[in-house]
Amino acid sequence: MKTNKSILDRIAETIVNLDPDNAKKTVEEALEAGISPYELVVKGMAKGMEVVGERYAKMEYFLPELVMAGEAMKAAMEVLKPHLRARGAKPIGRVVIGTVKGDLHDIGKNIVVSMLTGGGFEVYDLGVDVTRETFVEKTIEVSADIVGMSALLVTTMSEMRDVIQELKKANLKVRVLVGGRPLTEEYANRIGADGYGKDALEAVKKAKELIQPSVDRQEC
Amino acid sequence: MMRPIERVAACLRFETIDYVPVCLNTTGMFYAGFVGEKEIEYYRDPEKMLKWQTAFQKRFPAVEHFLGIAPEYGCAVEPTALGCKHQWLEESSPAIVEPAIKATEDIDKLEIPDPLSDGLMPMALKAYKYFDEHLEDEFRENYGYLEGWSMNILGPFDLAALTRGITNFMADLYRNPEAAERLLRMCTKTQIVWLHAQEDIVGKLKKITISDDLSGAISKKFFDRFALPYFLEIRKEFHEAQIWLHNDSNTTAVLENIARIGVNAFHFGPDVDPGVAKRNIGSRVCLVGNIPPLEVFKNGTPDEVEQACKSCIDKASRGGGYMLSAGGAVARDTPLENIATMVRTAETYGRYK
Repeated sequence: MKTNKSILDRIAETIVNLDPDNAKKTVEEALEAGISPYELVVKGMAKGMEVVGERYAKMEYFLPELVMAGEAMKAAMEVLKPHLRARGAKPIGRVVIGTVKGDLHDIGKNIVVSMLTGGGFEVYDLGVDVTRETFVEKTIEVSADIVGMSALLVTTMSEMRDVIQELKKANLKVRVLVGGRPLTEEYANRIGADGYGKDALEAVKKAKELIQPSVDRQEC
Repeated sequence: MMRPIERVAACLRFETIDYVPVCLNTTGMFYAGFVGEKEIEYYRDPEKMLKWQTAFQKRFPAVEHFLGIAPEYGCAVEPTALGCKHQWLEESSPAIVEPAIKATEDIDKLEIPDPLSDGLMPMALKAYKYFDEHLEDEFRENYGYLEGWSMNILGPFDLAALTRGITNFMADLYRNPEAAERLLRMCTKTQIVWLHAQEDIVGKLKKITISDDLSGAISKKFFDRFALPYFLEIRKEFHEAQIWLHNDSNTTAVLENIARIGVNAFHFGPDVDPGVAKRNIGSRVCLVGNIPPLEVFKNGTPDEVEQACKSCIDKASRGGGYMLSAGGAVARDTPLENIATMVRTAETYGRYK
């Protein structure tokens, strides 16, 4: 008989091996074995993503591998979602995300969406060329915990500052996470963002840090 | 003193020259800031495009333009010819907003574009003709612009990724690699047809510039399967032309693979250590790079620009075959003082050791 530990390790392996089909199957197997969905996310999938992150940092994994790891996370999460809901489990956090107005680039944002979804967040992807009004409206509508913004162009990154100001004007207690090629941590601080992700993996890590108190409370 | 055209030619032959050339990748993003207008004015009007490019060249005569004096439309031209949808924005080059194909089965429905009728190719050719008819002789004589010099094209990997959608294409490399290869073959044929169409205007191509950022974001193994063979086809078809490649991803892992394309010059990004690039491929490929385009070239002080330039020269110029540049396209509102500092540093400090 397989132990919890071995199944959790195998789930992590499916993520590391970039294998969405087996990620789905192994999660189904784990649920049948009675392992809690939350344990699967935290001790299985998240561990797998940690290894993916390490390999990316060591230049053993590249962009296609990040995309496939995101796909594996998403496939596993699709199986888990109804079980999490049935147990009354809330998502780790709600994220409203988009590429800012005037910018149509979305490769980085799409990977972040996959990984946040796979990481247990409820993600509302607004797409590209998103106006500040849309960010604010969606944040209110879904009671988002985090607003994520991406920009690839130097000419559009200043739009992030305007979105942050609009969120403040609307008195929304939401955390703001930003990323994109022309950005730096210093710029993120300067415009009043709460977090900056240099790449997709770091963005997900930061997102978890930003909602840390509520993650600690999760038990299901 | 050597003329720019002589300096660059000698640099590409790894010969001793008076000073390290400065070669910048300047696009509409930068030119719009240079003249204080919106980018769309540049992309919509070949007259303005030519005027702004030559105005900058006159302001900085020592600067070689990586893309030449030629029409450029970011990465929109070839994808639109294959059926991708694009959108014009006020402050950007035309952007691809929808891939041409939604499923791998659709790859076989794609047709090689006709440059005279498909997507933005006719518009680009018209602008190219305008440039050819109106470019002042001094730019041809001193720099070689438009003398068999292609418009910038996308590499086959970037074109395939945009045609399929970047995320889907990256997943295809794992899920359906044969389909990815079929698409890459189609994109390579497209680029060969596109380059030949340009020859109708500027004559037999002597220099081809290619931008292919995404092939720098894959492993060596994937590069050898999904990028190298397609670059080599272009290399073979235009075997007498120089190829200048731009890829500002972190290409550290695939430097050797890039050299195997047989490129003459490689414009690389700020994440690559110029010393590593020099040691790995710098005796075969002329390196062009790579002070950080944002943190230093745009936002740094002239002193910081000077230090960064000296560091690049120290690391990458030994034995020749090196041009000083920013590690990517020059950002909008990069201070002219910083550009002047780069030129001055090249002139005073830039000697091949």
